Amino acid sequence: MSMQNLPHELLFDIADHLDRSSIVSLTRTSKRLRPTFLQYLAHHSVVVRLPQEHIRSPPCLYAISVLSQIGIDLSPYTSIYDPLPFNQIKSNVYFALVLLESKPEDLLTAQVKGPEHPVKHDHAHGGGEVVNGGTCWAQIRPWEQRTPHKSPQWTSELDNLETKWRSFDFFPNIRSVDVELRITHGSKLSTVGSEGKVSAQDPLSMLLIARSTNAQVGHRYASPLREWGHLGIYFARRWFCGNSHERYRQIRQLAVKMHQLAGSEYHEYETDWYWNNFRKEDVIVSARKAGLVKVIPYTLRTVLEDWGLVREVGFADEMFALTLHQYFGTDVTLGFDGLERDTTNNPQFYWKHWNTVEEENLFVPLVGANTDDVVHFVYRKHHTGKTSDEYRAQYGGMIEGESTVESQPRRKNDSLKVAAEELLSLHRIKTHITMTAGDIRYGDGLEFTFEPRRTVRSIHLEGIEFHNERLSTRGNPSEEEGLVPNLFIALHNLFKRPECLESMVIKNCRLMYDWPGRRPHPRDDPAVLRKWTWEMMFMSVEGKRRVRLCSLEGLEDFHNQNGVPDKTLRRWERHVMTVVSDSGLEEKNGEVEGRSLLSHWWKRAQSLLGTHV
Amino acid sequence: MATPSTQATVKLQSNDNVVIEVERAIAERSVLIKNMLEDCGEVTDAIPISNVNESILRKVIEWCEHHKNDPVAAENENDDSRKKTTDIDEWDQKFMNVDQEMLFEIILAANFLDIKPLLDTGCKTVANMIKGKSPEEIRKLFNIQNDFTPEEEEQIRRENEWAEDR
Repeated sequence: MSMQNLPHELLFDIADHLDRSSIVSLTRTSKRLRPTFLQYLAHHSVVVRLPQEHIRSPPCLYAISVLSQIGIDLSPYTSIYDPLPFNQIKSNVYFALVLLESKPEDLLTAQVKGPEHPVKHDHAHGGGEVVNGGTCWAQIRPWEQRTPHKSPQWTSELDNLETKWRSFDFFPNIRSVDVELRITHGSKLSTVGSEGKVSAQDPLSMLLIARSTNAQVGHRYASPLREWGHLGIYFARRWFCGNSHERYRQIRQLAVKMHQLAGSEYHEYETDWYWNNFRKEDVIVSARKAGLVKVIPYTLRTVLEDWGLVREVGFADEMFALTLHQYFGTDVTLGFDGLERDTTNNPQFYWKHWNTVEEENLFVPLVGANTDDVVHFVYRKHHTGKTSDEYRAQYGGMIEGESTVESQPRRKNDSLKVAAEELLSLHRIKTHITMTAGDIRYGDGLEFTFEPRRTVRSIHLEGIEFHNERLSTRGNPSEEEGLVPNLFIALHNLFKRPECLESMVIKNCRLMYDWPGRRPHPRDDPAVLRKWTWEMMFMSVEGKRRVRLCSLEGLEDFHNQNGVPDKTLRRWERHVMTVVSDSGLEEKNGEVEGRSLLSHWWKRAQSLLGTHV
Repeated sequence: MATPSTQATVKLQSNDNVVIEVERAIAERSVLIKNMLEDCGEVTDAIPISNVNESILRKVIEWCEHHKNDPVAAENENDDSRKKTTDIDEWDQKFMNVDQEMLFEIILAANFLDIKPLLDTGCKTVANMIKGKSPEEIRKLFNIQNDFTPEEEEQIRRENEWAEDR
């Protein structure tokens, strides 16, 4: 007798005790076992596709409530191994829920049956809107409607929290949950696992979906990522807080205890105080001794114990702040409302506090801020070891303590859009894959990759027209003010001295310093504009290189209006892939010309291994 | 419906014709035997357990003896309560510390005799052996022959890529 000889139902019994990845592993062991376990997965999984047509336009603007609309589409997508033809889907951002051991029929019946077939789990109705017999998706709405921003009076806080918590308790049998966000080609952008942690697979792609608003007055659209965060944190609460009432009480205890430890009852809005105090060792130790840490939601624990990880994920911070806001009650506001805009309306405030500033306020500090102010501020802020003067010398731009806000007009409401778009000047980017003109908001994007050269691992630009525009050089002595196409700031921020870049694919892109309909700039100087070329872009790439793939094709610029010759493209590719510094193999631009790439890396390997052949 | 029996012991006959006499209460840990006894009343002949050999039957009886005082799960108890955990108590862990062939035979016997707690214990044991292992490790552990061609493996890898953690 062996495992392979067990009847199907016993293999299913074994799978009942396994996590999803182990079952997937089993499907890959043999032809005999594969169909059995695939069948198991298919019957215990729900894959929800969120097709483009169900997403409000532009794609990044949909709210979680939209999910209720796609419930009716679930039935064709209950197979885990044939859920979506990933490589055939065009322009889709879709939502995949893999709910192992959830029952597809729970979801499906809840969606398709009317009130005469109420959902059997009473708690699923708690406080939620009953739609079509109590669809569980619709239950998410109360949360959306109950954000502190809209409902500042939380008179019965715990009840409300419990209501929301119960709203997520719609699958009593959920064993593991991954909420995954993917795009057209099927690569996973992010995962919010059962533990509430978020992993981002592709920071660059994350940028595309990170923005969340269309800046309409009075309208807020929570970003997919934020909603993913909501899902994650609530799943986390579900998993780690079996007794929600008690857990929340304990969290409040922790909050109170932290106040006591800090010797203060109340604190004005000052994010750093919370971060610093939460991170204090004595607080954590004390909380542990009090038995509090182990019972708080994992996301919160993550902040306490693993600050660095969470720090990179914007909405995790945000959710943490929100959590604090909720559990600290009304004694302390964390700035969701009532910011002193006159004193906080500057990039420094923004970048210092972006992690806790509510969405609408989040953009206020950007009003009137120049793009490079913000970008440079971020760079300086996170540039290890650079003093302000050094930073100014290197990059120009403002330093901490400076602000250009006073001289700029305030453009409330549209400031968000404008500032975000201007932030990296990529608002004219068009691609046939995921981006369309005007859809891109880089404001939140920077939350995730505030230093692109350190975080972006892949760049894939295709079918894009880059329109050069003027941007103040803000004191950069190397350029005459007003004549620097900001495209290069944006791309150079990604290209120059990249530390994590592994692949770069740029195809069919046109670099335009002039285009039909452009209003002439009084200070246009074609001689300056023309020097910003693809060649300059690629041949100025330097730094610690990890680029393993560089594919350039169909590039046009002023000097190559019929396309850059292949030979030149190959030369640029080689340069991008072979320039190495900080490693003893310093290469100057052009010196790698004609050298075998393989030979180069072979020598590199030899140097690392200390061997000689 | 037969009248309730006061029979103290029952005889069980393995498929290799060995008859083992056990207390009725112990034998009735098996829902199959329990139903049979209830239906037939007093049974003097040995009950044939056609799918189980002597050594496995003795192991099963050993388990039933140890657990004879355990509360019997309600018939309609939600299966989910026994899932989601792979915790096995210490005695059961030792009990299941057998070679793989016997382990799977016990699982089969538990399934045949309808002894859900034993079946769960067996399945949990196997699940614990599988958890966190790669396909190759699972193959090695259970001596499963990899009958995929390299092309099929690559195809599967691509198919599964989206569903796997990266």
